Amino acid sequence: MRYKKDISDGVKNSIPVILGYLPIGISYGILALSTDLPPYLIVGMSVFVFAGSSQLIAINMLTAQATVIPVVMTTFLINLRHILMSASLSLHFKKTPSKLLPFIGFVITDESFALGSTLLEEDRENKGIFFLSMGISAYLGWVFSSLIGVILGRYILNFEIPVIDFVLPAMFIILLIMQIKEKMDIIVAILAGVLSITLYFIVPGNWNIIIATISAAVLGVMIENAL
Amino acid sequence: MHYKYILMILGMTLVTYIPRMLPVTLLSKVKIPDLVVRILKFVGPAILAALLAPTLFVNNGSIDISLQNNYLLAAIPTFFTAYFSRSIFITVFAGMGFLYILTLI
Repeated sequence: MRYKKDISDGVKNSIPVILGYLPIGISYGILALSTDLPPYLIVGMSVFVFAGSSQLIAINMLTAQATVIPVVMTTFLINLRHILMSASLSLHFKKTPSKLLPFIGFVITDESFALGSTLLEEDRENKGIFFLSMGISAYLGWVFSSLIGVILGRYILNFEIPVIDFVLPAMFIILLIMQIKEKMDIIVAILAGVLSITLYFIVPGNWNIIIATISAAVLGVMIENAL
Repeated sequence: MHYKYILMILGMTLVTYIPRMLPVTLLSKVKIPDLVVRILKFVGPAILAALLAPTLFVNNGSIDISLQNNYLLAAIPTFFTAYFSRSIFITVFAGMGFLYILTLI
């Protein structure tokens, strides 16, 4: 089979990605049990959405009694960063059959992007097949980790893990660090943080996040233009 | 039935899938306008900071910048760990470890 090497290389390279998903997926599963989401929808969200930070935020917002629209809006904004990742990866898939591309799109995550943008620089016969098998294997790892979380939380652990709530802030911290590439990014992040805290006391629901994000991003471009 | 949640997951699926799928699928044909790319570049750091800041600085409904705020204190070494390790796995575990140590003090 001519794809064999690319498939097995892809699966091999997904192992560090799966290791990264494990603590997040397990925490997601455990934390989600504290909402009134039934277990099949907890795992179902992992099957369909496949986005760790968005899923944890959704759970966090549901715990704070958020409604559907702010959850979906926040998910949308937090996933906008994938547009740039997807655009940048597209350069590597010029020779990939176009019917594979919608599937490749589904498996683009922060982790697979970080790894893929390095590994796809290497010479390889079927870059699309390689990335897709890495992504599918990582995807299965994600679904599996959240399933473990649900099982652990429901049947095995009958005590609270005191620091598990810190998984989400810790994940935001590393994702934020990974997003900072120039000085202007730091300025925009500080602006967004200050705006978000200020608006937190003024606007209801989780709209502070959405308004702060859009304002800070637009302000960033305006400051850049003024300099 | 849990219609509300099914609707939410459906919405989340769409808004997650479309930004990932469209550029890689269409980019050979369509070009994103320069201004949009510049705004998008800032959305990444902005949303993460906007989500993170209230979690760290707001405690029991008011701003708390004190040694009693364990989340804020634990975030400091977590930032350094993230910066030097560049690993989600290491950062998440170290972060929980730092917070755990603080809860013991």
